[in-house]
Amino acid sequence: MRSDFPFFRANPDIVYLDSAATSQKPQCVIDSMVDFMTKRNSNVGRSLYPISSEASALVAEAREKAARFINAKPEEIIFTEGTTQALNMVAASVCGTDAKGNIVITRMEHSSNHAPWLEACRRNGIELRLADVDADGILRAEAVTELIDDETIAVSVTGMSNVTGQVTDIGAICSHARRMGALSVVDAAQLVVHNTVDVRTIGCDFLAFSGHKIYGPMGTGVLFASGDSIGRLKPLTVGGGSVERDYSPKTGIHGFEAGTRNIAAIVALGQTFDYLKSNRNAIKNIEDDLSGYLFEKLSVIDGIRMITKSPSQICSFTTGLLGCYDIGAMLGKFGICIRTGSCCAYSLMDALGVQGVCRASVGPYNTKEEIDIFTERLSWVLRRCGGFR
Amino acid sequence: MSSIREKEDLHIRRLSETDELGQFDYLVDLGLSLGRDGETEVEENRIEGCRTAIWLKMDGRTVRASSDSLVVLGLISILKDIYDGRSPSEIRANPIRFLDAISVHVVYPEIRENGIRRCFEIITASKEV
Repeated sequence: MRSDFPFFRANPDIVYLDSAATSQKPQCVIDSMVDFMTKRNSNVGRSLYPISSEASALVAEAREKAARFINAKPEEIIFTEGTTQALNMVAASVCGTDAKGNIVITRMEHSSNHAPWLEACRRNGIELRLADVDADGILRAEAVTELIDDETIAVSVTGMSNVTGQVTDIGAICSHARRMGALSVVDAAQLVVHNTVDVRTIGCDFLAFSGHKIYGPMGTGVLFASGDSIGRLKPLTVGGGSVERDYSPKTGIHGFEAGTRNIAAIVALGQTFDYLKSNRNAIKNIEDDLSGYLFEKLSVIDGIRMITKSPSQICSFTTGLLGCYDIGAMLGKFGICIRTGSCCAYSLMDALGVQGVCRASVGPYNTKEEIDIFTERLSWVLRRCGGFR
Repeated sequence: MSSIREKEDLHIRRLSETDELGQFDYLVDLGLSLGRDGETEVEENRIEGCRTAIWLKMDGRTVRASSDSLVVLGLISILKDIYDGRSPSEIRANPIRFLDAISVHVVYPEIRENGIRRCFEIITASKEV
């Protein structure tokens, strides 16, 4: 599978363990973008000549593939620039000036699922409730559900922590929210690439993810808005293609896709879904194997405090001696790419009592040999700096 | 007492004589010797917008600072070595030069611009005492 990703041929000496930040792209996705821009470039939904119709059909096809990927309907799929934009749209919509009550999020959220709610609640005088994690940084579903009451407007929760790798019990949270009359929103940015996601089983109203974390192009994303809930959404931007002749927003998904989108990237995102569909089992097997190996190898290094508590594609840790900047910069010197810092999860950092973490994350293109290089070099760095004492 | 320039030149010479790994070692060694200053690690002293935590305040003519990074503590150690006991006007007349002697792979641009240069601004903004 590694051979599908040309990045590694171009960078044979790099050990890339930062897929949770962004994934590398398979050749078929790159080819799809180049093919569109080379042979099919034209705008969509506006003109009647053949290549424009063909481009429109390719976007519709990408939408169908996105819908199948999460068991939704095409008319429930809004193309966005990414998870952040999608969650901003949902937060701004449901916390409108007429909204009263409270919003429930958690301490485990990435800034993209914290800041939009904080801002929308501040603007409209709505209470923001924060579900806590336990001493190990684990989020229990009950910590969220006990904050939901009959005045809760919406609950917005990550499906998989970008720091600990914990997969949250979103099904339980969403079904409780529904019983209480609250909307449910899932930040699936990390979840969808590693897990099969079925929005019908989860029972959420909204679910967002980004293309670039699932081996697709940057600047693309998907917002699922269930047929029952799409009427609660308001567009963040209006303009060409999104309004009627009297300038009122179009109904349905097209009211949320104003202006000319990055069509080449959306078409390539469609190709990404094909790639994932064809390789789902192989990806899962490789990632399961690598996750266990990574967790095991990190856990035995002297001086490491594991933030991630069980094997996951995302594995975070701190060291007693060196700060995360030191580790990241030193490993970077040896071509080893990991994420260091707060990982945009400030509230979780506070709960864990740390300034930042070191995070290694794997994709199907990684190998056990790379994990060996990483952990051996990490041990070497810790020993080297320990020697100064 | 040596001048700011003389003291800084000594650090520049040591940093210039070694490779990137040697620069890491030099800064980590200085950082370990300095140690963290837990009392300064409060929100009001925190320098925002930096990839690593830096806290800094002036205590008269003494720089009091801390960081969770040993490399950054090493940089703070140099700042203290060259600027402690000096007046703000003296410090303003001798802006930081030693960062240019350090590889960008050891001290990343954001640490330079949002971290250490911001430290310099706070140091020079303090009142003359």
